[in-house]
Amino acid sequence: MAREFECDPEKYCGNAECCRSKDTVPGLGVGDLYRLSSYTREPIVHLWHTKGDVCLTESKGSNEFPVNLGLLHDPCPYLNRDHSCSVYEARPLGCATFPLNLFLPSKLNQSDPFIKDLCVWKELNLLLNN
Amino acid sequence: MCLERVKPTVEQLKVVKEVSDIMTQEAHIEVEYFWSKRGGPLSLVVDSIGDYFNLAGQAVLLQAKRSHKGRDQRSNRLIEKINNMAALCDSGEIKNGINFDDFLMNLRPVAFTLFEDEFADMLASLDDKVFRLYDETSTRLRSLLKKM
Repeated sequence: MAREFECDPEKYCGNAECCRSKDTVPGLGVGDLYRLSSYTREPIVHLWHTKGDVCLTESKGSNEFPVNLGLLHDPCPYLNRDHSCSVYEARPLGCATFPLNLFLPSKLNQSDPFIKDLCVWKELNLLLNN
Repeated sequence: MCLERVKPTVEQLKVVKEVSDIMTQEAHIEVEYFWSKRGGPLSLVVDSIGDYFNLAGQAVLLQAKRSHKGRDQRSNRLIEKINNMAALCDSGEIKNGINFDDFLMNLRPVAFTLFEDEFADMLASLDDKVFRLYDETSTRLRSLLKKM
């Protein structure tokens, strides 16, 4: 059942690249925003204006781009100078589950139950599109 | 810790499964109480480079009208990405098709500017009933995330 995470050190290691790389932009749920807001005591709407972004997902061959909530990522506004996370205890779930969330359908077999269980963003998109 | 060749343990996978279930529950809450406020999902249709620059023009006009704190950084980022796209067009790279990730990088600030206020209003209208649901999932998540 266990798979190996095939890390590309140039992409993800060394300088908190996963907190700034265009390959690892996390989608954000309202729950993530709420936890960040509670942890930092920054009102949720203010947090959205100062640190929010949109997360655009792949449109599968069409020119339509589903828009979800996101967080600035160039770099992440919560990334400290020493590459630690200033909101680690309330970090977004996309960050908390990294790299396991890289086991996504676009990368691996979609029919695999292991992948299906992990791919919650796919479920969200399905819900949104139905 | 370097993640090279790391294999998730069975215990980690169990935790991720539990986290995944909570994320799914939160996704349902989000659909029911957040996205429903605008009548459903949101998509941006960009059929051509002309569409991109049309949206970019709307975003620049919107941004110019705003006066929130920290707007300068937002404006700079928006202009930088639009300039990046213009440079791609000027360089002729466009004929071979723009790298998809680069395209998304240049589209994100445009989309954010267009939807920033609408999403802010949607967030502002969430009430305590919804936040109590997130309090419940967050409490469960806190203990799980300590195990990851």
